Amino acid sequence: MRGKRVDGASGRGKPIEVRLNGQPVEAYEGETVLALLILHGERAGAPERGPFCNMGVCHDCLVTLSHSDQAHPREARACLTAATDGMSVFIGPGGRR
Amino acid sequence: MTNEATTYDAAIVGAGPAGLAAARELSSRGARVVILDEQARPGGQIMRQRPAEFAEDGWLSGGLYRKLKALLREVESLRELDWSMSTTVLGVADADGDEGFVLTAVRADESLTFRAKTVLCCNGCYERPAVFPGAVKPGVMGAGAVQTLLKSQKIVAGDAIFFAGAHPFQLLVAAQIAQAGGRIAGVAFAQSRLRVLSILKEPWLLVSHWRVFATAFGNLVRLRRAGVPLYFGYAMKEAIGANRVETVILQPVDSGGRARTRAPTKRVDADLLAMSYAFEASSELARQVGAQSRWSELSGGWVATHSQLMESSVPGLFVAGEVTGVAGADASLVEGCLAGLGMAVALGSIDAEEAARCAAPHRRRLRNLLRFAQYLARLAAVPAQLFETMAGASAVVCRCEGVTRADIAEALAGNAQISTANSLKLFTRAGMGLCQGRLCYANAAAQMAAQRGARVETLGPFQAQWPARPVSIASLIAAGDEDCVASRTTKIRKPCR
Ligand code: FES
Repeated sequence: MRGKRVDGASGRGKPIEVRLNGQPVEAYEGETVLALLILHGERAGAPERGPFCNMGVCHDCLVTLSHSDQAHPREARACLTAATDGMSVFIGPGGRR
Repeated sequence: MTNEATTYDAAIVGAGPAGLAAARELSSRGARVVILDEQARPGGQIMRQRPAEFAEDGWLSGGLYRKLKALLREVESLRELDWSMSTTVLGVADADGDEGFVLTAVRADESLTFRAKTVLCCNGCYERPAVFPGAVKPGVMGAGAVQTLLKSQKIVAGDAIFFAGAHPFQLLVAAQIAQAGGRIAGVAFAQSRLRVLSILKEPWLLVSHWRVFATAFGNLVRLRRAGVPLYFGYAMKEAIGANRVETVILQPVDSGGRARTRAPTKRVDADLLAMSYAFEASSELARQVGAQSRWSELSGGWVATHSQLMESSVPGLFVAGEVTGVAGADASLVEGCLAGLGMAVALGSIDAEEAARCAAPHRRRLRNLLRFAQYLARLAAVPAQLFETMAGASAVVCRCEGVTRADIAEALAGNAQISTANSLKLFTRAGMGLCQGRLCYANAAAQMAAQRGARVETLGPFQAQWPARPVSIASLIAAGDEDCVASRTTKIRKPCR
């Protein structure tokens, strides 16, 4: 675990089920995928590089997302994407590790 | 809600202080307005809101934010506005044949098109990363990223956070993190202590901007009391660690930013390094439409030029906020008011005389704010040699494509015909990656200017092209817009639909 949630779970949305590279992780409604990556000490995007901006500029937070109600996985910037119940997050574009 | 069939009177790109102020002005005059922004909620970076699912307790408390928050809440409650949030604008083009502009955008994977008689580009600025060994490692972020993770996500992004930079902004973020219970491993300024404190010698500033200084001074005192080590006259030398940052190494520098090689370096353990050296104006969208820009070393690089009522060199295309020069949220808000008036004139809802009368108090206030911003910019100016000192010979300049200082030096030395930033991009691939050169331009151009003995303004910006952000072909084709994709990618100017 890196960093922390201020005030723990309080003041956040309801707990949701999210998987990070297949592993279930603690997550709450409203949290961005980037926040989850950081809290779980995971890098994103290309190997050797970390997310820089948290505002959609650097693209170093690219992840692949899949969801039970979506036909295809899609790529997205983790910092601009809210985690949702049932979401699976794979690190890097095309799920590459 | 938005309506793709509507031709809006105004499309506003960016829901920060400038965009909100312009929207308020325009709606009060009965204009049909749509606001587009990449974030899920309006406010811009300065007022990054918590997600709707979070409690709002204590969000941006403090006098500095009061006026901005009032504007945000007022505009959020305007019923006649259309919002397109979580929307990435890919481009703005004039609607050939018709009056006005066509905006292409994506929301999730859905492709969108908007038509508008006037457009306001107020899409802000971003942090300029410094180049040094280890700077692209996981665990190195912009101080702004660390701050927005805290204010919007309520997350302290590291267990021991070190701040390094030349901008007083880092004091604010460090104090906010400390207040939230985070551990600050230290704060390093490249400038000397005297230089940082020299602002206190300007009484007129203290009187006119006492709130800003009271906050800054309060932050300094709070950090000192918390026992946070403060370093003055130190720059980043290296961030080291196996898979992510574990230790930062600081290099002592003189007032010109040159290494003081005889003075000892310092090592500090930290798992997050937040850097805050300078900001860059996000003028690429306005430039893509053809708006003229000028080079401004101190306020964000290539900034869009404009008339008194914020119209760019392209008629009907307006610019406001940091896009016109990084000067802070208060100046952005006032520029948004002016842009709103200018757009109302362009739409024919008020005459030029009335607009000038309404603009007069805004213009007076803006003059005062810009004077202050310029002073701050000079004070926070990165010492002349600093970026070069930090970069050394071989650190990565272009993160996306992994192009190093050495690669650039070699390309320049071997190819006398590289005379613009664009040609450097073609030779080295610096600027061709997913961020489209936003993060490497300043550093690559500075290196080229130094090596060529030229001034950066003679090298030009990287050309701004459609799409303004990378987009999957699938999402464009899904919209049945193949002609549009083809015409854009081959850069033939042809109306989409
Ligand atoms: S962290 Fe930079 S784009 Fe997401």
